Amino acid sequence: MSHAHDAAAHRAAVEAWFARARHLPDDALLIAVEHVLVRLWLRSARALGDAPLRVLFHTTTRRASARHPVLATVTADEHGPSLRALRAAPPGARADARALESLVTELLTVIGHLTAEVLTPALHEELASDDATAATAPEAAP
Amino acid sequence: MSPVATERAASERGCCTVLLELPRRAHDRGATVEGERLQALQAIGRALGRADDVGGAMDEVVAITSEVLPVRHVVVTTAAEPAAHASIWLPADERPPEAANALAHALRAHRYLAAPGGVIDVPPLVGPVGRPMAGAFLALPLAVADRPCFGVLLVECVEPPREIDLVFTSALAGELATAIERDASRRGVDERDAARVRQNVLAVVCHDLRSPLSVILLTIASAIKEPANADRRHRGRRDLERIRSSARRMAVLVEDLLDTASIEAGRLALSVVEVRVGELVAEANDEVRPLARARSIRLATRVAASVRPIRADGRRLHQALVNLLANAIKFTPAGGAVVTTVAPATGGAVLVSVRDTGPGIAEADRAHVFEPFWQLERTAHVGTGLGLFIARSIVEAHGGSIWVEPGRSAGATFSLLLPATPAPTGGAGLRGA
Repeated sequence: MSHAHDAAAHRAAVEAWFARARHLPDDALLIAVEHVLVRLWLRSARALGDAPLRVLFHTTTRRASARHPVLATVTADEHGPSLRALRAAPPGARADARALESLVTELLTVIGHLTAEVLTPALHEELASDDATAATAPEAAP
Repeated sequence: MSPVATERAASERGCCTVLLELPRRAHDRGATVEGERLQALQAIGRALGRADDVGGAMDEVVAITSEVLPVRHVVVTTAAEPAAHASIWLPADERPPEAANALAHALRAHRYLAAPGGVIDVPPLVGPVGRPMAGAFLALPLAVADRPCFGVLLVECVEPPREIDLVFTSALAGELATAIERDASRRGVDERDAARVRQNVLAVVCHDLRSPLSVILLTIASAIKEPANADRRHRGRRDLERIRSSARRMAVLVEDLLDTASIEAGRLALSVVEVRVGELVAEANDEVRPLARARSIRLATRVAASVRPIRADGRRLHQALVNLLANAIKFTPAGGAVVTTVAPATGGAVLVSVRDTGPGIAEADRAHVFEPFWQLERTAHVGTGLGLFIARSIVEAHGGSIWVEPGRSAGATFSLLLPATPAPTGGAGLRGA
């Protein structure tokens, strides 16, 4: 598998997930993205451990925020990625779907690139099996 | 596997690269189980723990790694401002050193490095020396807990790695990161200790040499300035005594500093002859008697008749005893006493105890009293703080031991146990007679 192919595969997997989340309002989309990021984190941590993964996530946000500066507020701690700062931002200053898509794609790219794409199938499977609306469903209920 | 090429070069990024190239070998990957990898990691941990530094353990680490992971190269890059160097090991018959150098250059050019801010530079999609990466590179950050990334472990596998290989490599990165941090911490402590000792030496030299030197200069200046009348001649002898006393203080300090330098360099030489410790104690008491008299302190000695002569450096033991006695006198209030006892011990050894009636030594301080310059740091500059350190070094050079205990009611008791024949440790040199 070439890296160009990997990059296309990562984009396709992420686009498919975002296609399922397209109808979500901004607040719910942020929660859903945070949820799927945590899933990707937990799956990666099984192989990498928390400390290396935190560095890779930091690398991810650094690279993604070069194109979408608002992503610089995304952090990760021992529980995984957090979009708390984005959720607290005023509506006009929040990351749009394109920026969030870029963040998830970048995470897959960085992890894949530095780990010989060993985890790529498993991470794509996590994306494919994630119900993009599930994380927001309880909060959406009256 | 031995180093065949070492390259040192400046780098604008500042990196340190240790590159190890392994021979290809057949790996029965199906037979590799978790237990073997766990054992390999434990062996790697032991190898890193045994070595003085990570670089010294890398041959063994890579050899162990190659037993469980089909690796072609293992590269460790760490940020090491401002200089950069690459040390390269490879089997002599595998590739010429030029190829290894080219590999190191390529690795640096492709920046598998920790970047400022604790992130990893993700390199271009081409492997070293023009080889396609072919999904065979694992690049794991070197980081401990939540501290910033300071390096990268790069492993090129012979075959595309599996997740189990990634798990192992990530754990290996953790072991290396911990060991590298430990090295750095150790170096930092050594450097801080060296800086502290330098500062203390300077403080001692500045204070302890300046004071007697001032006395000498002022006394001479006064003698030159005053007319040579009868009164001046009368005071001449007293001035000369003052100059001699100050010069002696300076000489003692210089001797202490030179002895300390010799001890720390492991060059404390002993000239061993048969000596009677009771006689050495008596001579040491005679030497410090003027000091004790000036402070109205009583000196007493009790030597058991059954004490046998021992083989030792008499001059050095005398020096150690004088240092112990001078220390005891210094901390004993006027009207007190310093009592030295000499008794036989097992195997022809001799036990010497110097007991004073001073304020004693707090338990927390007892562990530090034999450290060089310690006293200087903890008191209002009473002496150089080298006497007890020198005494301990002399006793230990004989294979003996020295310790301090609180007195029964007050004061402190310094004891030293001297073997019948020296059993030197460390860098002490022996000359027999």
